[in-house]
Amino acid sequence: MKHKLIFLLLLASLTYGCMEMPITIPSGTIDPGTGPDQRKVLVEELTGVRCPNCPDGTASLVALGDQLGENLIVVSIHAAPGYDQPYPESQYDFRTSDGSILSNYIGLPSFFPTAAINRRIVPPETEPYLPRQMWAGIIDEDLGEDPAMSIELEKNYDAISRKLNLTVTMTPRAALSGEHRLTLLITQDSIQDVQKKGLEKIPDYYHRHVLRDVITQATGDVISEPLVVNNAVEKKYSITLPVEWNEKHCSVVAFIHHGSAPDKEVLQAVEVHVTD
Amino acid sequence: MCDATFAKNYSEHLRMKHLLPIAIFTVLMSGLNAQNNNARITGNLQSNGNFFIKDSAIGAINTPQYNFRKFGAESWLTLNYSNWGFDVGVRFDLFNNSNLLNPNGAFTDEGIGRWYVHKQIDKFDLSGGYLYDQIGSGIIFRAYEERALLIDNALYGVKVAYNFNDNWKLKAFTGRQKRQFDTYGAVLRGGSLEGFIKPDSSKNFSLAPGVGVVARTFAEEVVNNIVQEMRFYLPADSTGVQYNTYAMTLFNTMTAGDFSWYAEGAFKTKDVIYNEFREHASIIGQDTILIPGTLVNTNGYMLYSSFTYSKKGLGITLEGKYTKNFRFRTDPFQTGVQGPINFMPPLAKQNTFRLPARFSPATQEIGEKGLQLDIRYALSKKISLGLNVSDIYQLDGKELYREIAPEITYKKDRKWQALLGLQFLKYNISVYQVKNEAADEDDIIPWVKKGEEGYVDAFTPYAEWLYKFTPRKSLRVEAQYLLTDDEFGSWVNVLAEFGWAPHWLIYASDMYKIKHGEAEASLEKTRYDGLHYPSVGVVYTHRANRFSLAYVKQVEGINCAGGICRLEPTFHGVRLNISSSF
Repeated sequence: MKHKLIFLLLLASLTYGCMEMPITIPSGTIDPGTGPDQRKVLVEELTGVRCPNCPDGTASLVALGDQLGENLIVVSIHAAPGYDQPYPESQYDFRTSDGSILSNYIGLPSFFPTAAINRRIVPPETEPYLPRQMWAGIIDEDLGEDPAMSIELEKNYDAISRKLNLTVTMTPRAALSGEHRLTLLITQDSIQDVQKKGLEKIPDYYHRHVLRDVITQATGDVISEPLVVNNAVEKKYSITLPVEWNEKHCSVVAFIHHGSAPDKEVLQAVEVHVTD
Repeated sequence: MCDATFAKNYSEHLRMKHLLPIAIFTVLMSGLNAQNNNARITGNLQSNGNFFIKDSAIGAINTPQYNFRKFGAESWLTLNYSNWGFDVGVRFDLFNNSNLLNPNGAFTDEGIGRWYVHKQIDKFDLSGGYLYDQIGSGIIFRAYEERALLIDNALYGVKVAYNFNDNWKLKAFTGRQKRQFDTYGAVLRGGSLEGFIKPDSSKNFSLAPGVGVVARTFAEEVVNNIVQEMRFYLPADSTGVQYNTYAMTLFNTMTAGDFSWYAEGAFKTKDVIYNEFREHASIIGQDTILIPGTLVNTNGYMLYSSFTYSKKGLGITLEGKYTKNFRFRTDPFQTGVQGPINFMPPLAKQNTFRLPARFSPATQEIGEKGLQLDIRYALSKKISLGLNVSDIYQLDGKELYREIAPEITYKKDRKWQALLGLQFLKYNISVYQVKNEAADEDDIIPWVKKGEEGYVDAFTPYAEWLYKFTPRKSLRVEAQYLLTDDEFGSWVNVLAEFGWAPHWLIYASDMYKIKHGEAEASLEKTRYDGLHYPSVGVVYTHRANRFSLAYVKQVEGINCAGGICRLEPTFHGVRLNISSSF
């Protein structure tokens, strides 16, 4: 009788010990605010027209972008090893030498779809490229951070000469040390061309946020000026858009990031459309 | 977030972590000179070197290895020392631009990959460090190493076992799973009770029952990431999350005369797993879209059984398996070979010949059911027959894999022996490799009238002939012909290997891509048409030391070990392997 009682007490305590308080999943609605001092999140998606799983990743990013608005900036780099070669029937080759350099600089992918979120290395991952299941969590986490830097990007586009002048103003909001770099690049949205999706090859797939060119060095231009809290640093760039690019769908993305040590994390980003 | 202080502290932490095992090893070794009683040192070294040579014709391009790294290597050096009832060991691991972790990438790191201390005190068995172990057949827990796929999921923790007597043993363990030179955040703990019952020592009847349980607690950041991912799901898809999951198993091996029957049933409480087949809805503007791949919080179970009959000249094995939602990982964001806590036995033959092994099925953690039958029968001292049949389905009844492989072996005295085999294969390439395969109106294989969409139908005859010139000199020749009009089409492979025992082995092989059988095959399918994939190599063995050097051209394909598979890219280059035991 005594042993039975002990056994029952042990069983009851084990059962109680296994019970857990439920974890609340909050609503998906997020209103992070806007403006140059609001933290924005840069997502660099590594993709390719032969990558069968990548369109699912893009769909996730489009869905997130619909909720987060201008606070989510997506760049699709067509440099996925083994998946980026165009099909014979492709109209465009989205690969660029800058895209390859950029992709290698960010890190090594080991699965697709994959994307770097602010180029953060999230333990236990050892590379910035993260699996799709993690994106929303990391994006949400970063949106809640205060940016160490604010960026403003002014553009001046001449439709006749197709010349685009850009002025980037960077203002540190916290003390910064180490090497920092500025990267400016151009993306083009909604380009219709062939894409492998699952088991199908879709001839008129809408390719989103396609990286067209990196205006600075692909690995970023080193900011040589001292970065002092609340002291603005200004940089000017210009580029003439090739006629093949539809400027109505083009955007300029600017972001500041660590150079190499201790990581390549993006501190703040901004995106403007080439045309209004 | 990742400032310099963190990096410094982290590197200091890792340095200390590596110094500890060396210190333990040195302290114990220092006693060697003082009391050289029953001390024993053993060890082994394995080193691989790959030199990458770009070859755009076969697709050996566009990875860091071919573009600029050119060389990759990995090496493991193990030392084990036993004295005064202690067993200690340490292993140095090195990876230089290695493509083992990621076949398309380059992994570089080095350090102490393993250390352990083990001591038996009366009926207690105590271990600490990086431990390899399993419960039952591994369905709820298996910590093991498989270097071909760089799986090394040792438990970094402690284990205590108590031997009641020679037949009954209780063990308990806790720790975290190893990840290269770090650990995953999830905490594991578990235990098992295993026994052996033989009611009558004069009869061949015994039972080996066991029961086990493993619990996993997610790291806090993993739970946060799950919550943040699920908050974007619609309520119908948001299935919740909890920190702890418990997996339980009950197993037994019954042996009666010539029969042996193993049965295991396992259950897992609610666990957040990534289900790549399930879609979740997302609203964009006014539209609702379905996105494949969803985190699902669900329980799971698995049943596995193996029945064996063995008598002189005859061996029969029948295996069956049923799996539902039994993915069990350190966290649900780990994919491929990363982070599995358990191991699920494969249900297909482990083919050793190159072409019959070309389409191997990976174990499906989300769901599968299947049977495998293997029969070996010796007709006489010279002739033996074999038959292997595997049939695997998804839980909805969709076929995944079917293989029928009869074999015959003939031994002519001690001079030569030959093996002839056939493989009839049906392989769901759309599930296993996410490749499309259109339906065939008239398949190239005569008995496959109409191939189904998404499947590879293949017929592969294979043969092996071993001729002994003298007891020391032998020639082995093998040939296979894979007939299919699916994927890249038909292949032929031949190999000749000359052995000069006990030291030398020289071989040469060629795999050739025959022109695709489909009249209007796409460029994608015909891209390897007419290409040769030759390899030549030499192996030198001296006692327990083996050195091999080979020039290799290898087509992209599935590399499997124990039912765990991954698609590996084309290889072109030189491979150097050294293994040594002492």
